[in-house]
Amino acid sequence: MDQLIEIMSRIRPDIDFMTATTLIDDDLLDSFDIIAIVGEVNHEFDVEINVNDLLPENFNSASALYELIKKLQEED
Amino acid sequence: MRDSRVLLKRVLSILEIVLITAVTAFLLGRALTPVTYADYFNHEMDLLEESGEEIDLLFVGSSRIYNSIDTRIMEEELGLDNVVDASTASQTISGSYYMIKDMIERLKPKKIILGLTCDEMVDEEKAQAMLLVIDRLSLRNKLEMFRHCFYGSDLLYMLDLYRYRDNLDDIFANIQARKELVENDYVQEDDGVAYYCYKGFVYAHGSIKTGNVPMYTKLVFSEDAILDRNVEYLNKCIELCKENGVELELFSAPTTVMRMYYTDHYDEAVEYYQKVADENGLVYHNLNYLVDRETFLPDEMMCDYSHTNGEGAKLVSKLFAEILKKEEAGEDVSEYFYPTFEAFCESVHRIVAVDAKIRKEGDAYDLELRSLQNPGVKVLYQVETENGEVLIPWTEETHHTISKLTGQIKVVARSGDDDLGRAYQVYDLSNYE
Amino acid sequence: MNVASFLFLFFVAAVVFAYYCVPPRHRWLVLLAASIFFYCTYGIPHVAYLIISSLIIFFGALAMQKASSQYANESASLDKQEKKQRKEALKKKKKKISRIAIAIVLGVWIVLKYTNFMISNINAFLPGDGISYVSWIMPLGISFYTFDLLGYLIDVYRDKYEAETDYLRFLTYVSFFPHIIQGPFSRYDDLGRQLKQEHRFSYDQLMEGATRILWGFFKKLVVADKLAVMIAAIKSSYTERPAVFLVFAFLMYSFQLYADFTGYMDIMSGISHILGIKLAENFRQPYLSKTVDEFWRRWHITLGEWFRDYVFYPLSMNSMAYKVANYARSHWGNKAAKLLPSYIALFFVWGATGLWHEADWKYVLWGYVNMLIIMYSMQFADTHLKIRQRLHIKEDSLFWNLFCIVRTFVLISFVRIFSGSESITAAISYLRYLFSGSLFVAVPLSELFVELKTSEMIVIIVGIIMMIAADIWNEKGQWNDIRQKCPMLLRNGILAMLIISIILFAGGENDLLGGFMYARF
Repeated sequence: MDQLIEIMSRIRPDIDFMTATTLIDDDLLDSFDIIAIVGEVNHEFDVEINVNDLLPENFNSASALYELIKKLQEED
Repeated sequence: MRDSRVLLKRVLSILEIVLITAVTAFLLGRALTPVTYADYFNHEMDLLEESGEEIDLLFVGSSRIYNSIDTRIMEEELGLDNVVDASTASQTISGSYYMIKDMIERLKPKKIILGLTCDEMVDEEKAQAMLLVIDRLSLRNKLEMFRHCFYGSDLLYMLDLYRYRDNLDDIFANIQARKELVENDYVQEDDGVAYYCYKGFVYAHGSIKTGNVPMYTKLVFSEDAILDRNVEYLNKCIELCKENGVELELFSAPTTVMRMYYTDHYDEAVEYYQKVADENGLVYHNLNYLVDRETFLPDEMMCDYSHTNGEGAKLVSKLFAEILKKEEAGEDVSEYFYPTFEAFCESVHRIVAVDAKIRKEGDAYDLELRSLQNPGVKVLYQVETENGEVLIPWTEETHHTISKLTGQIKVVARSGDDDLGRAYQVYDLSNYE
Repeated sequence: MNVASFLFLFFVAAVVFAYYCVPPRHRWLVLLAASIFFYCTYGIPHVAYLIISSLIIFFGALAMQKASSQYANESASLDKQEKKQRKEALKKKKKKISRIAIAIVLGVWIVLKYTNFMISNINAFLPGDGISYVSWIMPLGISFYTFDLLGYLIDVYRDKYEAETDYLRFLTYVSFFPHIIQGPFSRYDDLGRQLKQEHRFSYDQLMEGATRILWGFFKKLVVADKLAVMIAAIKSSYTERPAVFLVFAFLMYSFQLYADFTGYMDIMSGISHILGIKLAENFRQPYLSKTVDEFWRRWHITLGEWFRDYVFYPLSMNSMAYKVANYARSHWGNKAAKLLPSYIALFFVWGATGLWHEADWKYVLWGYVNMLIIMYSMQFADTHLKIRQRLHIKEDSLFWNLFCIVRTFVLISFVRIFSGSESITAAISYLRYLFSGSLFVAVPLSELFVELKTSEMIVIIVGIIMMIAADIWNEKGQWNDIRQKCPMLLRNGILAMLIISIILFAGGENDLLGGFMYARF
């Protein structure tokens, strides 16, 4: 989880990913941020997040994203 | 209780919007309405109505009528109190009907003389022309004419705000003009061009040299082209006068000889009106067929290609008054007129008009020449510069090309033996870039 | 049926009346009938395209849904290995169905829209006259409903929601007349869902909607149409005018586009609002954007979101993109890995966006200039940050914000020279005169507003000020507050003045029947 927050903070140092829960709903992340985050996450966690997973419930908070990563790792 | 208060508030709010819109529309509309002949006309008619007077003789028709009938002379010559001309520019026959209806209701004219040319019967109704009549009607007749003659988005013209919205930039000048109208007691000053003179008569300045009338707007008359709607309204005019015991007479006001020659089947139009008159027991005179008009009503008595000027109006009115008096006394007035178009044409000893259609082709100008004259006359053309230098000497050929020229050219037409009057036109080549 | 006409107003009034007379359960049927009728007024052959496209997508989605449901029912009783096999088979089947459906529907649109474009490109290489052009008519709104349909199909493919089982309901969504001609692009789980709900009459909704419609007509008929006259006049005479006119023209063109497009959106949103339906917003105070990238998230929002969800994300998040990212990371570092997939995806997105607007190279160029500006600011984001820090420029200072807003507005307006000109050559000619001409020429304001009367100029300026004020209030979230605090008399007075302005200024050469600029897409 810490690793994930570190990744996200590198891409957007101005957002507090520990507490933010409306990353998508409040437009805090734009599409480039998402691509960048997904790219790094795929590389670091060895998963393949694809377009179908781009739902607000998966990206609104760091913990939600972490849940998605765990789920994808399990499926493999 | 609360519901009804809410409802009341909502209704009031909507009413407020409607009211503000209506009041603004009305005030702005008034401010935008320019001063027109209708203002002078309406004022004079109001005065007549107030003093309980009635109209002895009423003229109705288009601008050709209000330019050629001098109402002052008519009153004087005929010994009448009130001769009124309720003509408006490009008046449609439906407009004439409503004008007649309105005048009968308000000022009970004893006799009406309805002016007709050939356009009224074949033309579609134009909103702008009909609005000029609407401006002179009582409220009830205004609404009736809107209901019967205006369709679709033209109904927006009921709003002065919409009708005159193009005047928005001049709104202050307009308000000033309205103020001056009242200050001058509804008398229009002579501006040297054309001005409202007296009871509908519009005095026009300007004079065209003989042979210099431009060939404008070819008209075509044919019985097939006559619109049913126009016939319907002409019949309504005749019916209305009959019902109200008003004597009706038909006439065609004088125009240029060019206009007569440049109307296809002009004689058929005249015959058509004669037929209508005969069928209804009415008198019809075509003042264009007045004998010796070439002498006393030359092109110089016209202010443009279609209308008489003030001087011409004086002559026409005097003569027409004389004819009306004789008719009144039961005398035969046919000697005043040529019996046919052919007979009239025999009195025309000139080339009536000449025209050049000019088109720029690269560095040169392409000229297409044509002219109006009696049949059988051989025509020769010459083209000169403004200094008199001859570019194209006398020739029958009508198609020419002239090159590398600026400034003006003059096109002259003469008969083969040069025994007839010449016609000419001057053109500024810079207009044809 | 032209939207800017009394006939249309009468049509809307009739629809609203019928809508609320009918029991709430059946109100959607009124919308369906009205929408089909509305579309038919543009030509019955056009309706055929609409029906056929919608049928293909409808049945395609249903087929995929059926396969998905079958898998869901059976998979519960299967072991992991079989489950995986079945899942693969399902994926294959869904892919096949969606590919066929998309190929047909998208193919029809591409053929109708781009055949002449392709012919003209081929003809450039052929001697003589080349191939003759086709004269097929584009059904109205096809660029919008085609994309709505594709989005729906892809959403069902992605299991975002279940396929619709009632074709008439589906057709109501596709043909919904307020959004069919010029958008906004609507998602089925938004608009489709709303169309299924029962809507009650609300007086407030009626008044809010009517106000919005009035405001929209004012912007379109008064501000946009008059500006169009002025800009057309400058565009046709720019070779004879000092450069200050050319600058003025491309800046004012932005206001014309804004007034025209948002005017139309306001009319359609207002109508929907009266019917109890909220159409997606297409604009969010775009000219207050501080960067070009932000601008494209505030202008024609639904178009950007469509391309983002159905082109940008799929392109930048597939296995090929990851390979590219890895390659970039190992050769050029993390920053390249982060940016390169986005750049590649952007290349396709902006080419497609340009072409979507018009089958013309000038729009492709316009798209790529926008893209280059965005890429430039992404590439040098950290450098710019350092420069700002060096110059001690505070991010939240008024000066900096104003600078960014003006800079963005000028850039966007400038790039529109490409899309707003007749062709690329015309645009280049315009630019040449722009940069070589005299800028500092004193021109009285009324002369700058070429071909317009003083009264028209005044009403345009007032209109633009009103639009800017409304945008600033909306941006600050103060709009509702202002509206409530506004005295009733003032509010009603303004509405009355809008009506008076429309009577005074609407029409002219356009004759109350001017078309809307995006309708030809």
